[in-house]
Amino acid sequence: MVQGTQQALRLSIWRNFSPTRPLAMEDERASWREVGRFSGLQEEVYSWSLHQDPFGGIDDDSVRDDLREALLERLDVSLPPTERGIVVLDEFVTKAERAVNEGYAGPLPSDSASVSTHTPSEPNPLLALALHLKWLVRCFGDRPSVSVSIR
Amino acid sequence: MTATLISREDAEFEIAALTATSCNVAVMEDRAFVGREERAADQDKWLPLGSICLKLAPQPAGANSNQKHQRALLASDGSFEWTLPSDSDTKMALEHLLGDKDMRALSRVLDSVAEIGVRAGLVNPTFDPAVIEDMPFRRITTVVSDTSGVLQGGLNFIVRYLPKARVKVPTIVQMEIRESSNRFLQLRRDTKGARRKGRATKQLMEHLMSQGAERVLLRLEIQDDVEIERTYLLGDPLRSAFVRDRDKTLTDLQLNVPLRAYADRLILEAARHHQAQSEPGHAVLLLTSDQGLARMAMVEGVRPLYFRTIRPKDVFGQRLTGRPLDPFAGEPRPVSLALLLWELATAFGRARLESDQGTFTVSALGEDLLGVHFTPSTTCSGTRSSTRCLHLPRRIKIPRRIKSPRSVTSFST
Repeated sequence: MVQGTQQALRLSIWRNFSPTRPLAMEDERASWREVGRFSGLQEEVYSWSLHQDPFGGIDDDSVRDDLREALLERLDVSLPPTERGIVVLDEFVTKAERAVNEGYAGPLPSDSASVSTHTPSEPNPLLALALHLKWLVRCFGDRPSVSVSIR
Repeated sequence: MTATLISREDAEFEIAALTATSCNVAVMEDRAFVGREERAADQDKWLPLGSICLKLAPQPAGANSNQKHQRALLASDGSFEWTLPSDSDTKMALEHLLGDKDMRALSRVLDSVAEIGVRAGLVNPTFDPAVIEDMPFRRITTVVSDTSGVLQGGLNFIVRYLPKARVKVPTIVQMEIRESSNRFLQLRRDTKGARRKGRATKQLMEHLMSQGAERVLLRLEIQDDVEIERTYLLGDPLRSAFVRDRDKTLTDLQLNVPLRAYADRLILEAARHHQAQSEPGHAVLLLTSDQGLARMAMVEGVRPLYFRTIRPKDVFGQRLTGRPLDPFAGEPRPVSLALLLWELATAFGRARLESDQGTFTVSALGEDLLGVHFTPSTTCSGTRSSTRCLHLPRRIKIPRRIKSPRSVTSFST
């Protein structure tokens, strides 16, 4: 379980990089090439960090592993951008909502410190994450060439 | 038994007295849902809006468990989930309550109800991707809002999540909202046309729009950490050229064509005026969900902050949390259950939470009072039924420069 200021995951949204000025970069053969509009490079346009474990309140191991795989492995930054489009994020949202509606997701367990300071623990971190990602899908879903990564 | 509500915390404690972890939530517009003639006979015409469930975390052994205090804390800290009925079910319920089969009109009502969720902060408005790329603002930025920005929750989003935004509400926006409020009150007082076709739907729409928008402006006013700049009304000397003119000899000049976009023009002029007065590099953005105004702003050198009107399916049939995540910082941003109820009550007139152990009703408008009622059900453990009314003054006047304590004003107004 990750709480407090510690970063549990970092989500980035990328789009095709379109330089306003001519750029050049060195390739593997140590020769220079110009970077144009369709160079295959992407730039980050939105980044967001979550400071709590979204899967901490899931009591079923298989559901937790399935969701973790759908988010962390399918959106790993090492994959090519075409394989981690916004559709993959939408699929995760659908899975997460199903898990919430079927009662698998619940509150993060409280520790004794939070009780003594009257700070309630997170009631449903998976639902909060799903709602946020749904908003991103609504905002960026129509945009071509957008990709998502989770680190 | 009657008591006076003096703070939001009082309301949260009363909600906690319901004791149940799950309650049904419903709203009522006393003129639209219940006709004048039927009012005495049938008061129980409520629009169901799903259920709200307080989420109790599992407690470690030995933890102090004062259940009522714990529930009050949960209500205050947004530890609840709200499951809404589907849009088709809500539309059917509205059709029955309003006696109106005009599906387009009912869809507009549904849109307005969905906007309450955005204004309360439970759902975020859908912004243009290019706009999100620039958020959160790194430098102080002025956001000028049009009426749709106020009404559809865009302004609440800016205030809630973008601390570097300065908000500017042009006077014409406040006038439009005031005008809408007058129309609502006129309809409410008018007894002659009460039986006209579509009247109940119109009454409800005016209530939802005018009172919801007034609530946004009032909330901005009492929120300590919001910086609002006020503009003077830019009275256009050409205004008289566009009023309806009955002179038949001057038809070539088209003087009798009313300029429909005049309010939009004044809003844009307010933004341009601010831009002209600002230092170079100071960004001035126009918040709107009106595509026409957004295009006009772009053409005239003002950058629009465009967002889409929320669709009912983004709210209805969904499960929402009272602890949504900050879209930029990632931290939970709690929404108090008492504040959510107050948003519903101001938009409809009344909102209630009902469980098998009692009913908690919030009234924002009524003939006799403005306040909060707590009515334990007669079926509750066979005890004597009693009514607790928590009255509020009809209007709390807040001096412009002297802020009242936040706890007093934030719920009651």
